[in-house]
Amino acid sequence: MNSKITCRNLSVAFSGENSRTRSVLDNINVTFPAGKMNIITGPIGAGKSTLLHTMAGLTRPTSGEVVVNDQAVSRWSGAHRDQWRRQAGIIFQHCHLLHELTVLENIMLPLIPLGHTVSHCRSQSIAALKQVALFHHAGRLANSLSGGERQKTAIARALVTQPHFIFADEPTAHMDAENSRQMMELLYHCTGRNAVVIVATHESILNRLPGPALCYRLENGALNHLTD
Amino acid sequence: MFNTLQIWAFRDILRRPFESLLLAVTLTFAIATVGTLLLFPRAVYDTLTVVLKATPSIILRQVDPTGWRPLPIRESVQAATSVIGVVSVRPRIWGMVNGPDGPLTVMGVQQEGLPEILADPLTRLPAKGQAIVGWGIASHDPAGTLPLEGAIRQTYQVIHRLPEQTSMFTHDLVLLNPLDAQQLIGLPQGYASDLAIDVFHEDEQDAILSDLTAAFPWPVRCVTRRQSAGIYAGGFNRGRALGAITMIPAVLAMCLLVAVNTRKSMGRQSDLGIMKAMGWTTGDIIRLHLYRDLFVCLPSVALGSCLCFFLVYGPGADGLAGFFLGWDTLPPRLYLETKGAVTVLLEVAGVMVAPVMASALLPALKAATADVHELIEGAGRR
Amino acid sequence: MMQVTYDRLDKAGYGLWAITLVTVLACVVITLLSLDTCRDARQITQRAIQTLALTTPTIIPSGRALRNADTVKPAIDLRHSPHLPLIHFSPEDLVISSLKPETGDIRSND
Repeated sequence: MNSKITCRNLSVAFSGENSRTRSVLDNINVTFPAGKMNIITGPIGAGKSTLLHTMAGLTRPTSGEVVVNDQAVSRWSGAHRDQWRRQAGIIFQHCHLLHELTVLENIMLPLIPLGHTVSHCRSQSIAALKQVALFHHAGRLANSLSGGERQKTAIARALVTQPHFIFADEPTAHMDAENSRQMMELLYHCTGRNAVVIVATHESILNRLPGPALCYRLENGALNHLTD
Repeated sequence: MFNTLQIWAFRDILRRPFESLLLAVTLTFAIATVGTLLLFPRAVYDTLTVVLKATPSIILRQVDPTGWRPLPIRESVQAATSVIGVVSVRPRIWGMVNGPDGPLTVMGVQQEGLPEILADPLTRLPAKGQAIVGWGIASHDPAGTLPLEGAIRQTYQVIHRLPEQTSMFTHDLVLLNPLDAQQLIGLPQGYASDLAIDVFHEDEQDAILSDLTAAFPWPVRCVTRRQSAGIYAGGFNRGRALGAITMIPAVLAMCLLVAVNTRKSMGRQSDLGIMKAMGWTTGDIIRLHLYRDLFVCLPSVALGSCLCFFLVYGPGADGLAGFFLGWDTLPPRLYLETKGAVTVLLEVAGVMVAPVMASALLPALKAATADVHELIEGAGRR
Repeated sequence: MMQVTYDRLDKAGYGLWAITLVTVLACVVITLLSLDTCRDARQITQRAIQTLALTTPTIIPSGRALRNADTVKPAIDLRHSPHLPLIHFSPEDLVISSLKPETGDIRSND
């Protein structure tokens, strides 16, 4: 079955200063299909992260809904949303690693509650770490890594469960061109197993994409389809 | 034996090992201290309650307006045995005298009384000028003599010591020949200090009192076993109440600890947000916190209780009794009443552990209802 | 050859075993102490009490008012030993003596 994520009339607004509400996403209607790379670009503060977080179930929309395989996941109760997040792999813009844990342990984090044995979690995490070419840093504490290494760790952590939905927020912001290319190739590789991959990034990366992609631009709360 | 989540919970403890160690050590000593303060008087009381059941049902004394008077043995025994329900009547010759280190209780041993109890440790009864002493009475004289001062001043040859296990009742007891005892206390020949009376049924203790009082041609005062136990209970309840007051600093320390623990846990809300974003459910997070705190609290409770038991019922009891009650020479042999001990330990564990568990679970429960995005935003840039 | 580890989960596993061991050992000690809490001593003491018709435990030193619970007023101690000094008796003394009576020492008001 082909997975897809659809945003229907999705709006998100935050309460700002003086009780004014600031609209970040305004009536967005879009469907992100599986098996293709979906790229969202836009200026800083356009709401790319908010859109990803809303789709990933980290926050609720002000109105509208997020539909995953015909299920309105954004309307689900807390316990069900927990289950939805389990299907998603999220790469944060600021990585959000746990400082006092080693790189390998950070990658194991999504596997722990799934009921696997420690050795299974370990071997799967090592495999994910090898995919991002960071195995030589497996035993280092997360807070001793460089920005690029942290992003690689965050990518490996998001991919370790082989999720059907991947939300990547600026996954290559702190990487050089070569590493960026490698990480984007890795994300492209995920589309090969029919995952829905949505990447929020800068426009500068569009001409360096290693493959075809559905590109969107988010500006002033509206999401516009750019090109295939 | 352990599942991955439990192992991860212990790994989580290792993220801040010194904080967890401090919490465990504090909990252990708080439980040991508070538990000991509560358990020790309880154990003494329980022990007394049990052994007091072996004491005579009624003690009867002759009184006049100035207080106690010696009883004529023959007439008294005759009067007491005439009362229906009385099973046995034993005149007691006992009193207080000054020993080398302070007041001692002297008791004249009736010839027919001693052999049964002292059959094993002792081979003979105290003859004239001889004494058998309790475990707490040390003889300063290498020759083993004991100077006593009552109505007369006399030195006795110590021929034996009473078994140490009976110290709860015999620690400062001096057993003498009845004639020696009478002379030392100042009792006339044929007189006793009081009567120890046993009745057929426990319930008859109170009912028989009026008959007993009426059977004597002079005023008497009776005290039942139940009344004695009540007076001791009152004394020890006061002791326990004062012991409980000393808990206050420990409880305040626990409050501080709990406040710090809560603050620490609340400061880690962003971690919970990240975990939820990584697919951890609220149930997983609560279980993780539960395991993490159990791994700190459970050994602390076990070790604290163990220390507590060691101090109250084990070899540490000697030191504890010396410290709290000044029993320098009395080795307490406290008997465990399981229900009482378990109640005390559960109370202590509840008072100490419940707030710690609550302080750790509170943030997890709060995180369950919070928006994951808001939780993570608290982390700032990592 | 020593295996290189990149996480501390093995160490955590050993830690779990260690705290289990500590907890079990503590429970064993508690059990042993519970089983050996002077059952023999209780029987011997009860026999001594019955044989000698004792009524007064020695947990409070001789001469204290509480020592003879059935004669809380100190008259009996005084009358039994005319050469002893008068016993000072007050409510606070009762409370203090129930907590920490000085061994063998007797307060006097003369």
